[in-house]
Amino acid sequence: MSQVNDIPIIEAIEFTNFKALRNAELPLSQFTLIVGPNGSGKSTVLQGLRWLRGVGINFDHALTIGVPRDDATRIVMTIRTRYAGKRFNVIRRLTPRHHNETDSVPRIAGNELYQHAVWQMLQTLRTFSLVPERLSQPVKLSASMNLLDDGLNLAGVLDRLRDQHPERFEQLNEELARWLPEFDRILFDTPMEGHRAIQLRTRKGQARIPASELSTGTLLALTILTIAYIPDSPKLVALEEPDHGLHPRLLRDVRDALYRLAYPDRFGESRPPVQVIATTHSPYFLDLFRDHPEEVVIAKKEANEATFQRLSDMPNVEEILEDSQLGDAWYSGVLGGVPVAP
Amino acid sequence: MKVAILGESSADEAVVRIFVDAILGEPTDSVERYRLRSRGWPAVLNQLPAVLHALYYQSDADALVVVVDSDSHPHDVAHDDPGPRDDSCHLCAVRSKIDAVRARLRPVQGRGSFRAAAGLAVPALEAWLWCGQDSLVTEQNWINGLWAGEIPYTKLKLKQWVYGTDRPDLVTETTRATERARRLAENLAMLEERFPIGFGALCREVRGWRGDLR
Repeated sequence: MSQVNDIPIIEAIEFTNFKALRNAELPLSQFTLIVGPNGSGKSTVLQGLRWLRGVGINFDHALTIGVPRDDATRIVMTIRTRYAGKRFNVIRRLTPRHHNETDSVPRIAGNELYQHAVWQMLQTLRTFSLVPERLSQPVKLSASMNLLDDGLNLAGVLDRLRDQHPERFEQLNEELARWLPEFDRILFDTPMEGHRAIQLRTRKGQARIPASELSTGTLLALTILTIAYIPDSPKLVALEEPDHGLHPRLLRDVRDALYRLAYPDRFGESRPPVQVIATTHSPYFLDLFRDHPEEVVIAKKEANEATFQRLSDMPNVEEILEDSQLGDAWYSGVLGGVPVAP
Repeated sequence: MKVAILGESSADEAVVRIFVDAILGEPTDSVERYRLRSRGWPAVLNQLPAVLHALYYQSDADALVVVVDSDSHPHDVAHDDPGPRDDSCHLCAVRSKIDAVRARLRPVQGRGSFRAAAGLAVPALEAWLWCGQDSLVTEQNWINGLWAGEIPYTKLKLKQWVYGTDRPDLVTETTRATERARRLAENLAMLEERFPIGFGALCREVRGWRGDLR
């Protein structure tokens, strides 16, 4: 019997006719950082993951430019998964006539356990493209508070964390105070019955600063920390530009927070690991992955088509990088993944 | 004595501070005005001129200590011979940069001499921190392995040994690194014996300041 404690992992996603990803395979690890120019498919990857979760896409908007549209045309995502030592594919298709046509998890003789585990992972995966204005909004409390893709519900999620996992909430407070030393605690306000809003207390003067008055970077840092400290994390989390709006010196902490999700055992945590996908345009953030080129994927765009390549699969990459910083090498263009003239 | 430390990370800088204090036999003060932070090689080298100028002209720092990882560019004592330095060697590159900047510094009224020292951890600072735990972890062993095309341990392996993981978070890295550094500071002779080129150079240069201090 398989080890039921195993966690499914997506090893790769193949895209066909999906926006700039006409024919592209994205290799994935437990942690993957995707870098590349604008329009190279990074956001499309996140959109694809949302599609897997059930968020609809419009065929005509999603079809790769230049691909003829007829009844036989398909937009396809093939998700190559591994679970308990076995590999199998999940395919998501979209036709001009049937939006969201789905081939659900293929049947695997005698082992519904695999199907269930992988399907559960896909249904609970989370993609975040955080919008600062949404992070600061008061929220109406409900029994289950989940952070939405744009960051809405942050106040509710933190309120639940405080009530249901006070130890983790305290850890989060300590970590936040280290990241942003001007603050020492997350506080809550009740702007109206059944609603919550966040405040941060200043270390000096103990002033309560409402979320609406906090800087973009502060709100984003708080949200990334929250994602890292939620105890019942999804099996897969994808974040668009987690470095966005943050001081470069905080990026090591951001990396550590994401690593905490991906490799909890190495941080002394007993919870299951979360597969993490992040995108970035920051050479400073990229620098932090110099020791693990297998975690970096370069998105390249030529003409209207994008492709992906794992940095560690690039020929002679160690010689190319040798004494350079990874971010500088990427910026220079020697690794690809930079804007090119059409 | 006010000493600024420049290393490849804040954890490295905390470790180097402990070693410098031990070498001098007295605690040094940091330069509060500048919370220096680098982000690995070659950023240390690139920002060294700006750091040196700022410390000299705009602070009351007495000295700067720079410690970098050798990676696959260890120092050879032959590099110390008269003549051009081997700038592919990280220690020589740092020394060249320091010398070039110091040669251009203008006298400033009221400013005393400004000292600088450089150290080289072969292949990375974690090797110093693992000193005494494994007799194979020495400067010469690693350099011999490099020339033979078979390094005895990698930087990632050193991280696993020192931190228990090759992906330590900054708090763990700093805590464990400084704990080990404090223990090693009680036995600098062992570090000097096993890392005579990179750590030895740092010791010699920093000890040379003692005469100036008295």
